Amino acid sequence: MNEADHLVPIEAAIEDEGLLFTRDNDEEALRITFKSEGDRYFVVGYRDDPNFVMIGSGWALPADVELQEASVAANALNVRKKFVKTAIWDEERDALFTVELCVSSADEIRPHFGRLLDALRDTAIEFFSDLREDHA
Amino acid sequence: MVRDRIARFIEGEGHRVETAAVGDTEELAELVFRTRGQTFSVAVSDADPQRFSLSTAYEVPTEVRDRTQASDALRDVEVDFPETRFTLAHDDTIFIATVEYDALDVEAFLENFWEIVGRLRDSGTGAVERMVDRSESKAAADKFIRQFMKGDR
Repeated sequence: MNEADHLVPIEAAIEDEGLLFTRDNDEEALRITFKSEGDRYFVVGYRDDPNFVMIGSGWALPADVELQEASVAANALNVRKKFVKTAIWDEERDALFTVELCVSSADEIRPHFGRLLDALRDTAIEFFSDLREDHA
Repeated sequence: MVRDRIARFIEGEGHRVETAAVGDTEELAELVFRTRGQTFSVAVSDADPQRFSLSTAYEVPTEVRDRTQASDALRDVEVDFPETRFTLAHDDTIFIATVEYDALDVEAFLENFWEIVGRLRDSGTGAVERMVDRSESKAAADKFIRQFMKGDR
């Protein structure tokens, strides 16, 4: 373990959930990737900002969805949802769901990790369900 | 073997899997994994490779002290989830929800795997909610009757 690796407690949280993970660090960022029920998630931290932790997932927008309607759906969720920020990346046509936290230690996240994953999962489900309803 | 194919699938979906033999024979095995904070097990038999049994256990809420109340709730939920079988265990402190799934082959089972897990989870949480609802209804009725007898209503 690297001394500056403040995401180690997140590895324990992922293991608590019974999940497997991989690390993909570089000089600037600490990264963990993992899957749950086949869906991919990531955790990112920055070596120069140990108080910041981001947990997220990203999904491609369906081809028939217009960016404008995706942004409206994302904004509606941002108003209503706890924890999760939904963003539309125009060029990539991706929807990104993230939880960004300011912590003294990533240990603080461990007991709440399952709840945060649920929040990410539920927000993505609601986002795509809202888009499908708009198209119906 | 069927158990290895299922174990590889679950691991490929991101979950740690433990495989345990059931009984003395090599034929029957149980694959245990966790998802969304809940432990599930898949029972597979190489002698019957088209039949799969998926189970998970829930604690009976502490406010539900009456066995009849718990079994009534489970019977009610079985109407909404006819594929799920519920069994009270450990002196009725827990109940086990099980789905027996017959598939053409293991690939057909895996294609529907997370949907089956989701249905099983919905049935289990539905049963817990039903048990608690019944407790609350009874408490509300008791409160009403007490107020009624005091002439508050």
